[in-house]
Amino acid sequence: MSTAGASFSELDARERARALLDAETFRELLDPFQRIESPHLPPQGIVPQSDDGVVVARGRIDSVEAVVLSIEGNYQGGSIGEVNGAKIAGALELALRDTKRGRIVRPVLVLDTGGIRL
Amino acid sequence: METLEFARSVGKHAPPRRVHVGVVASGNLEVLLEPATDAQSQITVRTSADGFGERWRAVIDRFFARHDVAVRIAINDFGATPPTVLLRLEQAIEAAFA
Repeated sequence: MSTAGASFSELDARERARALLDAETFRELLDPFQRIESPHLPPQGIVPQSDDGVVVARGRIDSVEAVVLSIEGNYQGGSIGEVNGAKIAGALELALRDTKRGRIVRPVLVLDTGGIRL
Repeated sequence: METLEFARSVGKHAPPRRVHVGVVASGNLEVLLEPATDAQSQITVRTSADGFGERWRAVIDRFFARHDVAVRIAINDFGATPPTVLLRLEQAIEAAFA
């Protein structure tokens, strides 16, 4: 989907990550088809989302390696639960590990969240 | 929350790629569309609004009347109206065959 000219705040989480990364470098980790969704929500009668409301995208920003963590604010208020929280933590730990080994990975967090998922 | 399963006879055209569109936001839905893996097109709907199975059946009938496709579709719905559902399905099919 073309987002040229669109307001950044109007974009969804995936489009925001794509907009931040250099053209053609966007590569999503644990994308929706991996179906890493929350197992806690259906028993509470809440429909899960296939990415649990967080997009993890690797790519480059100004030619430097980057990982963008983009929260979908329109899914359950952008709340952080066990699964999407683990996605964020895992991606940051990977970026830290790579950076310590000399391969610098810039983490970028796009926070659009009401806080902890209750 | 209600889970609905539908099957339709498999159509002529399998999409060359899988596509994800939409968000499980109020009045909205996400659609995951892939090439069919079985002898049937399968549609799984998880919806926050219970008791609208016949409405979903009508929407899916209309979609497959328009598109002769071999697909597997997963829908996560948060109270979208039928026109919104059809628009998302059209968006997904357009992107899948683009």
